[in-house]
Amino acid sequence: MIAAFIFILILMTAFTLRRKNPRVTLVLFGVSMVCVTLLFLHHATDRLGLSF
Amino acid sequence: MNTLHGWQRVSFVLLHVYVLGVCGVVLGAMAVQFVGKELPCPLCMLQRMAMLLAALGPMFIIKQTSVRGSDSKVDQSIGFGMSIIASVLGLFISGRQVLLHILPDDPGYGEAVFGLHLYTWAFIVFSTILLVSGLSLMFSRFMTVSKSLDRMGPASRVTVWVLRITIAANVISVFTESGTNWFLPDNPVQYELIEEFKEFLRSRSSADGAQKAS
Repeated sequence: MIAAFIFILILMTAFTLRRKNPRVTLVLFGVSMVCVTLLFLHHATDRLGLSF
Repeated sequence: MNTLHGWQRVSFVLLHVYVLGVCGVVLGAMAVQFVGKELPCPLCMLQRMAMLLAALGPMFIIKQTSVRGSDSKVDQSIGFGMSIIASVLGLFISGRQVLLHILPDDPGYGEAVFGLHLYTWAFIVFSTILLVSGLSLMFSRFMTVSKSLDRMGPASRVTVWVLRITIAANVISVFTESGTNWFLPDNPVQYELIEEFKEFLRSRSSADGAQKAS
């Protein structure tokens, strides 16, 4: 469900690309990047028992 | 209506090729998933996310060309900056998966496509995105689409919708695979949502049977 949520965030970012002020796009893009990084860290450390 | 000429036209066409190329790679991975019946692992899904985030950069530049008063140089910097950041993250993810299966005699995850596994292809794609974005910024003097178009053309609209549909298809695909679990399983063997639905129907029919018997 977290992966689906991140794809929804990316879809929302795709729908904000045409705004004159790109602030919303950049915020959504940043949030998506942070979420992908955290999910990657979770899966990378899962087997090590670090329970990130 | 304003039209583009020379290098600006080439650059504008390349932006569309960039977005459609990345969408093609993600749709190819989905074809392997559904036609080849290979369920993507969590790292594969993360690579798809990074690829789609990288495609948002050129899409941003395409869309901003039809926004009045936008600064084309700033848009170019923002767009390729987005692509570079996303592809660096994608390189980390695909690089990790390559390293997981780098030992001799390791069969790798899934079937090879044209001799390489999908995560190796993803590594190549992210490297190419980095190279193209870097070159576009280096040659931004020629490649910046400085003219503002009155409205988006049909090719741009098709590109926008291909990207949106690719992302939406991935939302459905990943939700079907993870079901109501927070995380995807490390080695997925079934679509959890379908299994959960079957389990729900089984429990409901057995409850109905027990009610009729009593």
